[in-house]
Parts: sequence; C-alpha cells; structure tokens
Amino acid sequence: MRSLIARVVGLAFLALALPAHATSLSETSIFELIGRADPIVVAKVLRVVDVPAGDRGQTVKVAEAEVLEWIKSGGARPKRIWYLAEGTRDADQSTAFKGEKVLLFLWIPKERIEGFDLDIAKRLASPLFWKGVKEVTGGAPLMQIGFSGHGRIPIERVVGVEYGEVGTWRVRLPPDMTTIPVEDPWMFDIDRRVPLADLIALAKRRLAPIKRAADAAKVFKLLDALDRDIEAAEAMREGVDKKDIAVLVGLLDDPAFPRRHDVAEALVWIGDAGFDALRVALVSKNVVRRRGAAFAHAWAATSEDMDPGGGCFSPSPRPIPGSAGPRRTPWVRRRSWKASMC
Amino acid sequence: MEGVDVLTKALGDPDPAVVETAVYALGEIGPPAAAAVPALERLRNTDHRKHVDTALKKIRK
Repeated sequence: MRSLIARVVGLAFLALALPAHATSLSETSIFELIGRADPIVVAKVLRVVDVPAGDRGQTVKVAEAEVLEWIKSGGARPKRIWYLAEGTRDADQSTAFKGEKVLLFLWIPKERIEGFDLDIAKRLASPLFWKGVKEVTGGAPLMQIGFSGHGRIPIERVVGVEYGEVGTWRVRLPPDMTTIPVEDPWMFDIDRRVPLADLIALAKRRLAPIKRAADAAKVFKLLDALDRDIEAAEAMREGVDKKDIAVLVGLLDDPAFPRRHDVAEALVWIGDAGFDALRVALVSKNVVRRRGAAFAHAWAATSEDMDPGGGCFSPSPRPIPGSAGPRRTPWVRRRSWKASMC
Repeated sequence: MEGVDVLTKALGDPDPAVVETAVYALGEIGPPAAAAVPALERLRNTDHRKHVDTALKKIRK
C-alpha cells in the first residue's frame, strides 16, 4: 500500500514537472496567427487521405483542399493545397473533415514534418509515408496547420452569415471584435463565432499597414485639416478624388479606428460623392463594409437631426451603435466652420 | 429622402449590427423618416425591439 502511495505521489510530481506544452495547448492570439502563418487561406476540404506510413498498416491523414480565397501568400497561389490532417504530438488538435470549409493559418515546413510523440514520430519518419505523400500531392509541399491546430478555424453558416468558430481561451481576439456564442461551447472546444468577413478584414488590415499608410496619407492630411484648419480643408476639397473616397470608406471598416467619427464626418463634408460611396457600401457583400457605411449614415443622420435650423450642431448624448471608444465631439469645429450658416 | 430609402433597405440586412445602426439612424432622422415606419414596425417582434421603439418614438414625435 505504502509503495502504491509513493508511486502515485511520484507520478503526480512527474506530471507537475513536465513542461506545459507536452500535455496541453498554449494560448495564442489572432494577431500572432496572422503574423506567423504563411499561407492564410479560406479553403474547402475535398478529401482526407490515409497515407500508408508503416509495414503494419499504419497511416497518416493528409487533407487536400480547394483554396477559395488567398489571404496571405509569400509566393505561388495554387488552387489546391495539401496539409497534415493530424497532430504531430498528443495535444496538437490539427484535423480535417471532408467537405468542411475552414479558415487555415498554415506553415510550410522547411524540412520534412517531424512528430514529437513516439507514435506519430515513427509514422512521419516512414519513407513509405513520404513516398505516398509525393503520389498524393504530385510533389506539392505538404503543409501543417499552425500553432498545434489553433490555425484551423472551422466556418459555419448561421442565418445566412458565415462565421469562423474560435475557442477564445486558446486564440485571443481583440476586445472590440463582434462575436456570438456557440450553442454548446464544450463539445468542440469552441465558444465564440466571429463573422468570417471580420476575420478576413482583420487579417488583411494587419498585413497591409504600409500600403494603407501610403494610400491614406492624403486622406489623413484632409482629416487633420478638417480638425484644425477648415480653410485648408476647403482648399483641398477640389482635389478629393474617387481613390480618396475609397480610402475613407475603407477606414470605416475598423470599428476600433480612433478617427472613425472624423472619417464619417469627412465623407458627409465631401457631399454627394461621399454619400454615393456610402450608399454603395451599405449594400456591399462585405458585412464589415456595410457596418462601416451604416455607422457613417448614422453619423450623418445625427448631424442632420442636430441641425434643424440650418447648420448648428450639438453633441449627441448617445453613442452610435457599433461605435467603439469614447464619442468625440467634432460638432465644435463643425459649428465654427459652419458658423456662417447658423 | 434618399437616405431614408437606403437605410430602410438596410433594415433587411442579415447582419444584426447593420440593422441596429440603421434603426438608430432612422430614429435620429426623426419625422422625415416616416416612410420607414412600416419596415420598423415589422422589426418590433425581433431582438431589435428596444431600439425600434425608441426610433419610432422619435419619428412620430
């Protein structure tokens, strides 16, 4: 009995001494997934193949998927990709199901993929497996789901809207991201659904900060002028073109963008061309774009409502739905530059 | 009023956030948004009821 107790205590100590990653999954964030994965794709799994990986009938699962949208790619963008559909260690949740639509954050291993637990290590080391992989993929690289399976976000359609399903205790999301709960969070280790369009827009924004800054330079000058120097802004009005308006509408996509109110105001200030762009954006296929346009419409409506006498503005006590952060009161400067109309 | 037409169409958007914002905007427009009242009434039996009631009050004032 005493030796049994000693054995149990010994095993308990051993379990505590083991590194956490050996038995459980670490936490990551959506930004880390976006930054470190290459490629990132929306794909549909065409088949999951059991590739022979040993003389005793062992196999390793490999998925073939059709790429529906490329979000990040360092080079070629083939229509079909192959990736390992099982984990390289016990806690790795990598998997694939035929027919599923997924947002994938993948890695292309520089060397052959290795296993870290005895069983999978043996199977992945089998020459038979790599021969089979070559036959299945036709020589295309065998990729791996990033972050021990965190890089696989299943996509579900709920009431006509596509959502990515995320376990937020494993993959942290920005606090302002709109999510809805799943019906049974414990069944598949997933607790929230995020509109797929939001996830894709977040990734694209994150991946193109330099381009965005270059495109938006003129627009930011305009926003600054509207904020501080209305005469300078009026001088710039003639030079506002379609591209600037597109940049402004694009800036509305981000609910956390601190100058979102200014952007909405600028589009209203631009006039017909700004309103036309917002009208088109409000019927866009992109839900993030529609939300941004709705926000700007609400902003415009608020301004009109505050302007019954012809040009005088006052702050609204209520924030516009979907508006993140504190409500700014650009009414002060608007009142100053529209003083002649009051 | 063209803005009201566009926002009324947005009341049928599949995304709840777009609908909620459109409801708010129509409420802020007030009486000139009277044409949106039937569409707003149809939303009274949904999760948007609280915002719809506020908007209808502002439009009918």
